[in-house]
Amino acid sequence: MTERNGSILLCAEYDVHGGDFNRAGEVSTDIKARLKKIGFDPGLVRRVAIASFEAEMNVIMHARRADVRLEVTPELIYVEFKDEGQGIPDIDLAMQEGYSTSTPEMRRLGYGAGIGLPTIKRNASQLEIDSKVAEGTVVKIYFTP
Amino acid sequence: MTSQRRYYHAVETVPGNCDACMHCLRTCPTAALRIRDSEPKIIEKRCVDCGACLSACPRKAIRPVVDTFKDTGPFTYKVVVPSPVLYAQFGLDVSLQEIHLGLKKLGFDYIYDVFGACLIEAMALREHLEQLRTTKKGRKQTMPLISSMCPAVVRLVQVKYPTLVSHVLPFEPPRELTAREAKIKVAREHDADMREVGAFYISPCPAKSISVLQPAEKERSFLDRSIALSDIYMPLRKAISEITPEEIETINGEKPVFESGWERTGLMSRSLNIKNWIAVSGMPHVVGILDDIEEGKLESVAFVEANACIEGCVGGSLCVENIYVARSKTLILESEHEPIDRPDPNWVRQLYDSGYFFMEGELRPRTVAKGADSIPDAILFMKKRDELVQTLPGLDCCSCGFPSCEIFAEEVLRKVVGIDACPYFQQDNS
Repeated sequence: MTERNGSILLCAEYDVHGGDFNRAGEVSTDIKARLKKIGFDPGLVRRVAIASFEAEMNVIMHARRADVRLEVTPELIYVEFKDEGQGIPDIDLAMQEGYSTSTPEMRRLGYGAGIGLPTIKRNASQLEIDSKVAEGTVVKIYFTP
Repeated sequence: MTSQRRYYHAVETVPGNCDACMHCLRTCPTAALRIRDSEPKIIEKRCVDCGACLSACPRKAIRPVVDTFKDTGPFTYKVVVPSPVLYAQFGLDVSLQEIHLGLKKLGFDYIYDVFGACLIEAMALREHLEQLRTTKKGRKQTMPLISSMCPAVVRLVQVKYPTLVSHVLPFEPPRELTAREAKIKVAREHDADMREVGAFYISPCPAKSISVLQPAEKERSFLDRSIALSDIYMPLRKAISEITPEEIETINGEKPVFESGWERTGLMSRSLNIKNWIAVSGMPHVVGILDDIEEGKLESVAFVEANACIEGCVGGSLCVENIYVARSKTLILESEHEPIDRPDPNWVRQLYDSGYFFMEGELRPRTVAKGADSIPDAILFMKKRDELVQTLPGLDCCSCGFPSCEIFAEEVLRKVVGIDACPYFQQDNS
């Protein structure tokens, strides 16, 4: 179990708006740029960037909005996506590669392959998902350098 | 004994010419330039010799440093390896034979073109890609492969993308293969020592010039000297104009070839006969693609051909002719000349297996000084920097002599420069 303790060296907060495909990727790009500038291993930065991008896209595709929080401690990089939206009825099912609830419109844009959450899991050191149907989902992603 | 490696560069500053217009600062892809005391200063470790500053400077305060062609050195036999771009610098009325004759009149004994080397290297590269594709191990560290043709791109990877060094194609570029082959052949023909044969490269850009003087991955280039295309152009023009009808007679039997010499971006990729390649030119676009590779976005791509100059070597900053005129000329030359005979694939495979194409040395990242030693220190430094940047205008106007407000703030924190160097900075006393 990864614990979030120790002094927070860096903290940043963002807003993501559901349906705003024009600004998709802005948050994960900023997170990536910050971590890269600090001098983290590029492989780690890449993992954080990929996982954050997938989580950001999930918000844009399925939720109304989300608060995003980035924390860096000496031992941990933590990214949290707390959204207001439809929630996930069956998380185990959602974690299956290929399972998708996206609309044909989203598929036409090239999204909705059903690999978002599995990709986050693959890139994260640890992933926690907590969801309430019709309320929202909290995705907590932990990365240990 | 030197504890720190010196980096030679093909660009130098000219005292007194700079009027601090800051054009060069804005164009440098690695932030290697500063203007201090009204003079441009190049940070040796950062400069990748792309020549962007040369083209950007309207005052000729930065100039190329290359060997002049008069200085042909102590060699008994002189071989010239011209960049294919050379042939595109002349009008269509000047034939390849005349250019060859002109080069001979300037003192070169042999002319070796890179076309053959390009052809077999493309075949070998196809073999290499196939081998990488079938061996899953290490695929992530090497794919997509990045072409080793453009030395400015190779150096950019070393300086700015150290984790991508393993992606650089470990092949010698065609100019090096050609020089090695030429030296062996000429030495054998005259029963001479290889050292008696001098190989000269006619270079379209400062990066290739410097790769002859100081290769990125090995001690010595197979080329002995590099001559700036811009420097040899006028003497060569003159030599061509002085060709007599008798001399023309001597070349009538000669059938010169001209085909893809990878002088335009895309030629190398297309010669591979694969589908998943990207060809990119111009430093800002190359940086964008390398960013994407670093972020793992281009894992489905097998090969990236990246050239620092727009359109590739035809756009080199030492070229004389307008790049689009030169580009068209290469297309015409290709259509008008016979291609060379295709070699036996088995022979090329044998060469590949024997290591013929591979670089002698190993390419390593070039370490550039960082802001801090540890992650907490780095974050602290970044925070202080960001706070300082907030007090600056954020215009990146470069008036302070640094490429951006961010870099200026970093240098203020490192006490390289005082905050008062920013003309807009105002101490908040309220």
